[in-house]
Amino acid sequence: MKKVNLKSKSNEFINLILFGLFAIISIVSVFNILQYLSLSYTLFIYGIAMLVLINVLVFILVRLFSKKKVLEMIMTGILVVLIGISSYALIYIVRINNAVGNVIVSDDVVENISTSFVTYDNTKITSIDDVSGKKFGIVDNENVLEGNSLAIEELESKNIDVTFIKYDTYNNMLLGLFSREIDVAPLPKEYYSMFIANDGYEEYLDKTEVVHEFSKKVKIEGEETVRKDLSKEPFSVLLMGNDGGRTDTLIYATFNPKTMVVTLTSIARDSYVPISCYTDQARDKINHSRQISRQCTLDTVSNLLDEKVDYFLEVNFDAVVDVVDSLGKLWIDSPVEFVGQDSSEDRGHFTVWIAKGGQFMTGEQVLAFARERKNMPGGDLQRQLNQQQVIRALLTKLLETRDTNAFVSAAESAGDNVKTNLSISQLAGLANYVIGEMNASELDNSYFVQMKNNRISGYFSWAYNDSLQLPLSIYKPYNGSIADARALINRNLMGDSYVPTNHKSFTFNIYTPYYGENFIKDYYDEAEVHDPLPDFMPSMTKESEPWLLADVKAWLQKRSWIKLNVTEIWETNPKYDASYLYNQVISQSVKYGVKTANITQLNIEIIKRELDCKIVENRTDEQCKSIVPNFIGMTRKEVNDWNLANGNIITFKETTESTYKRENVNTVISQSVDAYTKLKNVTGKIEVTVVAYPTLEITDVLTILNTWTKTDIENWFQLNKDKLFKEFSSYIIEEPNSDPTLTGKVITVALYENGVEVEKYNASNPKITFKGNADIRFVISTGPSTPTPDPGTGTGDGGTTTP
Amino acid sequence: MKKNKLLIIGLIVTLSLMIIIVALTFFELQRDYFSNTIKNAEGKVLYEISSNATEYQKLIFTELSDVIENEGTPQEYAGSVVKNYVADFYTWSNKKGTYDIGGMQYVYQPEIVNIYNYAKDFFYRDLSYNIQTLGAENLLEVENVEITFSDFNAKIEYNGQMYQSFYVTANWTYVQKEGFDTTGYQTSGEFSLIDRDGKIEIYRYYGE
Repeated sequence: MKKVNLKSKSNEFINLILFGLFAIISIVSVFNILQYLSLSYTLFIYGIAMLVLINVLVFILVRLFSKKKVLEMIMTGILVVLIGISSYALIYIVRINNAVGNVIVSDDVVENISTSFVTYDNTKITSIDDVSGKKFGIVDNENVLEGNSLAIEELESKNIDVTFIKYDTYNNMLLGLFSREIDVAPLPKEYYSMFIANDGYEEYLDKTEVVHEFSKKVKIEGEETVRKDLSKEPFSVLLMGNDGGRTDTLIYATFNPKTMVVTLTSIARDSYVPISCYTDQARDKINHSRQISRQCTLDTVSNLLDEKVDYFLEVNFDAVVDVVDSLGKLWIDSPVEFVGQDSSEDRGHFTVWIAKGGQFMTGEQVLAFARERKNMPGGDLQRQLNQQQVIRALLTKLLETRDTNAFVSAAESAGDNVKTNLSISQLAGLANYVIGEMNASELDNSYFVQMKNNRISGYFSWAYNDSLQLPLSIYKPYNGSIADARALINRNLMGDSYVPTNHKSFTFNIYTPYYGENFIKDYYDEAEVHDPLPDFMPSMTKESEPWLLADVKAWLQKRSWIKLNVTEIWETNPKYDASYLYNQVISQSVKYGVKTANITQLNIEIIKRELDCKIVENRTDEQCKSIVPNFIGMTRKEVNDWNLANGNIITFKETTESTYKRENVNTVISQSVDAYTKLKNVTGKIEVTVVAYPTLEITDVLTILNTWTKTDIENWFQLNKDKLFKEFSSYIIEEPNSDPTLTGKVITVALYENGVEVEKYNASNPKITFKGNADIRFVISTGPSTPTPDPGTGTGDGGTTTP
Repeated sequence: MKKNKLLIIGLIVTLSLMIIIVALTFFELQRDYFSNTIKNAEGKVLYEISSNATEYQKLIFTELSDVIENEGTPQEYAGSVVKNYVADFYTWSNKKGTYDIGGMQYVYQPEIVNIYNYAKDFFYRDLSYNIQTLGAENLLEVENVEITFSDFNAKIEYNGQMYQSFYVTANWTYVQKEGFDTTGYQTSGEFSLIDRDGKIEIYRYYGE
C-alpha cells in the first residue's frame, strides 16, 4: 500500500489556493486596465500575454515543486510575494479607475442636486411649515430641476399647498422675490455666488434667508454622445469653469489631430445671446444658461457659433489648486503684479501675491491668476487670455509629465470637481497618438501642439429689467467677431466651408522672427444696437471714468431724438461738491439702463465753477468765450473792430515818444485790463495804448522858403528819417518859376491831403507841425518855363505855367 | 516521471515565450534606436531619416552620410544639407498632416519653433486638407535637387556667437502626377547656412 504524505499534499493544496488567488487578481487586473488599451495596443497585448505566461509558469512550478518540501515552501514564499505585488498593482489600478470614474460622466448621469427654498426680508417664514399658502416661484422650464420638478416634488412629499407663480428664468424669479411678487423661491444651493456678480444684487441677496434645504439624487439625461476617434477626427470641447456655482469661464476649444492645432475661443460670461432653452430663445447672459442645465449651455454655445459641441469638460475652480499642485508648478506670465483672492470660499481673502512677468506658479497662484479681473488691464478680456494661458500651461505640463503618481494624484484631486463626457479610452487613444507623434518630431514637446487663441469680442452695455427697474451689465458680441471665430473654428475642424490658401513657396530668415497669427480683434465697426442709457453719475464703487458734459454731448450726437437740458451747479448751490470735476455730470433725470429709444428728454446737472481764463486749457470753455483779448500786438483797426462788436468799451491812448518805434506805429503796446479777463468782470472802459505817428515841427518856414535847396531838404530828411514815413522823393515837387534867382530853391512848403493842397506855410503861417505820415511837400523851382507850341495847359499839383 | 517530463517541457516553452515577449517589448520601446541615423565622431545623432522617406530622400540621405563619414568638404556638406532639406520639406506625399513638417532637422535648431510654426501656418497650412481631399500620394514629391553653387561665405554673428557661413543655391523638380498641378510651386532657392558646433544648418533662404 502506497504511503500518502498528507502534510505534503496539504502544502501543495495551499500553494494551489495561493496560485488560484494570484490568477484571480491577475484576471481582475486585466479587466480593470482594458479601458486603457488604446494607450498602446502592442504593449498591452505583450503585457497580457506575459501575465498569462507568468500564471502558467507559476502553475508549472507549483506542480513541479510539490515533490520536495523545501521547494514547496520556496514556492509558497514566491506566491505570497506575487500576490502582494499584484494586489498592490490592483489597488493602484482601482484607485486610478475610481478617480477617472468620478471625472467621466456617461450620457445619462446620476447627480446629487441640492435645492434651497429662499425668502427675501421676510420674518414670517422661518421654516418649510410656514411656506404653506404662500406665493411660490417656479421656473417654467422642464429642464430646470431645483426651480421646478425637485421643488414641486418636495412640496408634494410634505403636503404643502402653495400658489405657483411662473417665471422664465432663475434670474427673473429672483427678481420677483426681491420685488415681493412671490414669498419663496426654490433656487440652487449656490444661488448666492451664482448671482452676486450681477450689478446691484448684493444688497438684495444679503437680505435673503434659506428656510429649507434638501438634496436628491437625480438621473440627468444628456444627449447621446458621438464617440469619435479623437486621433483621427477633429473635435470640439466646451470648457466650462465654475466658480461657486457660477459659470465664469466658457471656452470653445477645437483640436485637429491632423494639424495638431488647438483653437481656444473664449466667450465672455456676460455675453448677451439667445439662450437655447428659453422660450423663443430669449436673450440673456450666456452663463445664466448653466443655471437651467449643462445641456442648455452646450446648445446655446452651439447655436451662437453655429458649430456642434462634441464634448464638454466642466471644472470647478476648487480643483485647480490640487490638480496643479499634483502635477507641479506651471510657468505662467502675468501682465501685472497683484494680490489675488485665495481658494477659500470666503470672499475678500486677498492673500495670494503674483509678481509681474514669467514665473512658476503654485496651485493657489494659478487659481488667483485665472480668476483675477479687477487688476488686469482690460478686465474680463485680459482674464480670458489669462485663462487660455493657464490651459496652455496645464496641457504642456500634462504632455511633459511622465510621473504616474502625479497623474493619479491629479485625477484624484479632480474628483467630483471635474466632469467630462469624453471617455477614458478616447482620452487614452488621443494621448497615445499625440505623444507618439510628438516623440517623432524634432520639436520640443511643449511646442508640438500649436495653440491659436481667440475670443468673441463685443461691447459692454446694459439690459434693463422692467420689473425691478434694475439694469444688468451685459456684453454684446460683435457679429463680425462671431463670424471670424466661426471661420477659425471651421478652419481647424476642416469643415465644409474650409477655404484653401494654396501657398506655393516658402522662405525664412532667423533675423525675422515669426510671432504667429493674431486672431483677436477687439473692435468691429458695427452699429451699437438696443442701447440703454449709460450711468452718467459719479460712482463710488465702479472704477469708471467720470462723464463730463462734452462726453454726454458726444454720446447724444448719434441719438439726436433725445433733447438735453443742462442745469449748472455753481459753488453757491447746496448740491455743489468741490471733489467733482468741472463739467462733471452729477445727476440725470432718466435712470441708467433705460432703452434710449424710449427717451425723448434728458435733464442733467453738471458741476460749474469759475475758471481762470488765463490758463490756456480753460480757454476752450464757454466761460472763456467772452473775455478781454490780448490786444498787444494787434493793430488799431483790429482792436477797433473788436470794440465795435463788444459795445464800444475801448478808449485809445496814443503814445509817441518813449515807446516809439517806426514798425510799431498803429500797434497796441499795452492795455489797462489784463488779457483773458472775463468781460463780465470788467468795470468801465478799457484803455488801449497804441503807438502813434511822431510829430515833427519846423518852427519858421521863412528860413526855408527861397533858401533851401534840394540838398538842404535831403539833409533834413536824413536827420528825421525815423519819423518820416515816405520816401525822400515824395517830399519834393519840382515846378518852373518865373523868377530865375529862385531856380533850385524852395519856393513853397505846403501840406497835402489826397493830392490836394490843404495848407500853405508862409510868413503869416510860419510854424509847421505835422505827423510823420503827413504829405508835406517842398516845391522847388526849376527856373523859368520854356514856351510850348500848345500854351494853356499846366502840369503838377498847384504848379503854374508861364505863358 | 512522464508527468514531470511534460511539466518541464511546459516550463521550457513558457520561459522561451517569456523571453520572446521581453525581446519584442524591448524592440517596441527602443524602436527609434534602430532607425537609420547619421552620427558624428562622438556618436551624437546628427540626422535621421524617417521610415516613410521617398526613394530619392533615401538616396540623398546616403549621400549626406557619405559626406560626413568620409569627411567631405564643408561645401559638399552644406550642399548635401540643402538637398536633404529641399527633398523633405517640399515633399508632401509622405506626410501625415499639417504638423508633419519635413526638413526641420536641417534648419537652425535654436529657432526651430519659429520656423516650424511659420511653415505650419503658411506653406503647410492646407496639407491636411489636401491629404483629405486629394490623397497624400497625389501631392508634391521632389524628384531631383541640383546644387548649382556651394561655397564658404562671410562669418556671421547671431546672439553673440560667430559662425562660419555658407552660401548654396539649388534648383529642384517635382514628380509629375495626375490630379495635382505643381505649376507655380517653388523650384529654386538661395540658402545661407552656418556651421554650428560641427552641424551645418540652414538659417535663411529665399527663392521662387
